Amino acid sequence: MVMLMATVVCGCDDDGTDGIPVLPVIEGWIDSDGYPVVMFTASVTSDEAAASLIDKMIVWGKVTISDGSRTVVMTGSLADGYFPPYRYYTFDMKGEPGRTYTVVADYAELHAEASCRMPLPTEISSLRLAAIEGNDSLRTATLSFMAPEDCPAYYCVTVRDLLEKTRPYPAMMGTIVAETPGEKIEMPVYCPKNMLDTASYVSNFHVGSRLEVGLSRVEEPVYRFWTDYDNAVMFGGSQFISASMSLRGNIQGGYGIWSARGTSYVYVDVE
Amino acid sequence: MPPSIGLYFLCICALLLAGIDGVAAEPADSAAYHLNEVSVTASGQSSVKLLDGGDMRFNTSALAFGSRSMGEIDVVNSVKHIAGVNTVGDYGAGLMVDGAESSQTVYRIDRVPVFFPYRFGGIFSTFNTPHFRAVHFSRNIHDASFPARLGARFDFEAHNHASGFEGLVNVGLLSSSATLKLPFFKRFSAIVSGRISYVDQIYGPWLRKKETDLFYDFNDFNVTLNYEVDEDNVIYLNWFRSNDHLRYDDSNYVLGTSLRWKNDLLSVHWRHVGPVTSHHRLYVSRFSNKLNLSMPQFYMDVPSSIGMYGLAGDINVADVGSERVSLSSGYEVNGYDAALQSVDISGLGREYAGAGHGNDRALEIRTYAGLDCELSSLLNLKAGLSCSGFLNSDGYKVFSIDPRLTLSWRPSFGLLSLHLGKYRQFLHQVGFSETGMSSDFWLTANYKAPAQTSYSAVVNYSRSLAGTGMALSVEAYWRRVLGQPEYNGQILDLLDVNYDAYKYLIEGDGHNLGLFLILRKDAGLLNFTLSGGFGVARRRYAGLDRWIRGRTDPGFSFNADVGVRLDSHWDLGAVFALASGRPYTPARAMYVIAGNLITEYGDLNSARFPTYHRLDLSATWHVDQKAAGRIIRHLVNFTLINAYGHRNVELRKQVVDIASGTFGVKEVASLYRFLPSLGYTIQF
Repeated sequence: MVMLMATVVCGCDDDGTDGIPVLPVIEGWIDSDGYPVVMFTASVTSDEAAASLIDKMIVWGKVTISDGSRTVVMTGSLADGYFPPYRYYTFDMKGEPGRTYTVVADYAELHAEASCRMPLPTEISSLRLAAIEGNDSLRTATLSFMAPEDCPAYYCVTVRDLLEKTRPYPAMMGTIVAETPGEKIEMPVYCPKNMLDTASYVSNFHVGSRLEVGLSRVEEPVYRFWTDYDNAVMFGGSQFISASMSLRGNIQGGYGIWSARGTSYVYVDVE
Repeated sequence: MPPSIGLYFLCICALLLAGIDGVAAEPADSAAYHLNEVSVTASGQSSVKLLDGGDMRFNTSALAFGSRSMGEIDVVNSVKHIAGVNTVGDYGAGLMVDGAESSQTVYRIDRVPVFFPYRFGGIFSTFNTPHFRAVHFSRNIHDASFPARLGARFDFEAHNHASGFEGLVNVGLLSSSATLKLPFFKRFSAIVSGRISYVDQIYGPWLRKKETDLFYDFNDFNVTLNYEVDEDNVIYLNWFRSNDHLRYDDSNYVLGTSLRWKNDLLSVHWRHVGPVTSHHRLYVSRFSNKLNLSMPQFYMDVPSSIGMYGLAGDINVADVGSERVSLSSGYEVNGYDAALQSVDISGLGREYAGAGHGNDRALEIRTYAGLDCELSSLLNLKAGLSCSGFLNSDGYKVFSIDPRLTLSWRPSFGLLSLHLGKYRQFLHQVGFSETGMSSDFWLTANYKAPAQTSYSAVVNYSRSLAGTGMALSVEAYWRRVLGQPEYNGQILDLLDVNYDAYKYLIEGDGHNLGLFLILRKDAGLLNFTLSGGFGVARRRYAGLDRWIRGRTDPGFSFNADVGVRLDSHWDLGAVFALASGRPYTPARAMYVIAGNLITEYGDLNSARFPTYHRLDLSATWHVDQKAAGRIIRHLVNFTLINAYGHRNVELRKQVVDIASGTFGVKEVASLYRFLPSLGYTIQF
């Protein structure tokens, strides 16, 4: 009976995560020849039952970006196509390959910073669309490019729906490493997926959409983060083939990722 | 505290009271205490015997009368009903005994190991129980003959004799099986078993959800061919094959996941009985798995396997000039060929085959010698040495001398045993599943993942309660474990053209500590096994400067397995389990990245799910019919799994409710609720 009572007592749900602090979360990028964007939010701890997304959006934060010679304060504003719908931006600094960009974000007790060097972009050779047998409304997409001389080179692919005016989202399974200089690489581009989608996910692209597909060369930690992200989004919570692992980000003092990306784009009407 | 404590408290009290009433009513069975092992297993319809030293022996023919999972007679499932034996939830595959990893427990068919004796969903084990005459389960006390593993042992013993044509056919809701014993001429006999599932055909619609589709099927076959050379010698052959196929499609990602795994075993044995008894065997045992992920324009195959090729023998000398002393000895030569995850990929800009580490090859040579000595009428000493040499193809070598000693004192009030032992294990199994799926791959000990070692101290008290038909075993164990590896990779790491499984291995140390009690009554109309226990498993990995809870941590558990024979036609059974929730890695925080919810995890296994409890009820109707000069027995078994429908938590997921814009946690409960199971068995 003593054992039984002990069982009952010890059987109470033991979460083991009490007292975890709220930390800043950064998702930001600066593309070659592009302007920086930073989404600055706060994490939700396991103590905060039913916390609101809006409450976690930081609208009065101070976000700066530095390229090593200049520091610019970024402006916050509501933004359609973003989730949560708020971002920090500036048109006062443009991405240049070879530079290291540092972003610093502050709000109340929250402080986060991250640095990232921007590699040279790699030119996209082609984006090929192909019909799917038996389906007139969808097209597959295949991106091809040549691996640069300084391999290994790490890449992330982004997709933006220009008609829906979304932000650029990471393509599903959209990370790749080029290992052999001069190698021709072909990879399928899958539709991004996010939790705002109400319809069932379709990995191919709808006829009638207009896409911006970006091939971003990044440093290894950025590539690693987005690979972890794919793992989490595709397999997270699966007991069968997945373990519970956190994403390996590059934000000091918080969670998330700051990317400096050497990016080349291709635009396509899906017909 | 969980709200339904009162309910299971009442259940336990009822079961305990039922047991106590039964004790008073049953006739004495004191003789069982004095019989030797063979005599014990031959007795009546008792399905389980609790032996001196805490070992358990299952009489497989009697299991047909008890609780079943989906109509199947399964001894491994019976073992799950004992305190300290855990699985990772209802769907968990591997059995974890007293805090040991499932790969540290050895499953053997006539002393030849089977590497992955599990099926998906935790409903069945790989073994077709009626093919075997008995199963021996020992937990922490092993002599020098125990092979190179750190945990428990399941020994499945095939029938070595068929005196007449006999058979058993079982038809269940998920699978059907048949076992035939076929005597040929005077000295030959064959025991042939097969089992085939139709999970998808019957339960397919239940397994298909709006966005996910689950398919699972399996089959297995056993053949034992015996040739009785003379009264003292038997030569026999065992063949075993099992095939499993699991497919999981998720329309959320247009992703198909498939696992196919297979066990193969072929062995030839020679048993000799006499003043010197011996058992020599030549064998091949192989396990292979193929994980496949596919999306449009992309597929990835990840095969892995382990093969073992060996020769072994046990030689026991009962008469060495003194009745008080007997000797045992043995040898074992094993070659291993382990193919770690190699990766074949097409799509995602990658076209390659066979990327990965390649095969590990190793040789293990082991000899042992043991002495069983009656020091006095009250004291017994079993002492032995196991000497192993292990050589891997990368040059890693180990020579290990592992002493084992068990001192037993038999006063009038029972048997008190103290066991001390050192154990080595040269095989590891790691992977990225939390439930111990077949994708967890085997590797041989090498420079990057050295051999595992454990030091073990066990105290066991056993006694037969004269006049009650009951036996009691209380055991306290402590095991220090060194060199236990853990895999910290993720599935998409396999996409790396330079993928090397060893990059993701971390080495850990730990200890398992616990206490359990088993009370078994196996005579008369009321049988039961009541067990309770508490255990901890703590681990510390490279780079972590503190102890963390191991995923095998048993926590508290209480189990009751009660069977009542109402009359000559009806048997009723109830199995109740109450246990600490399984350890899991909790979310520390959540945040949104690129429109998706991301979870930041806390310390590994630092939380537990809510207390697990479940009651299964069973009723078996049986009738004997005489036909053509033989008795034909018909049994119909009905089992209700999780009879009061408790929602045992299997998974916690972090979610965002888009409509309200709020974060939350969703608990996913086991599907095993009010689950009926029907089985028909005919024995002839």
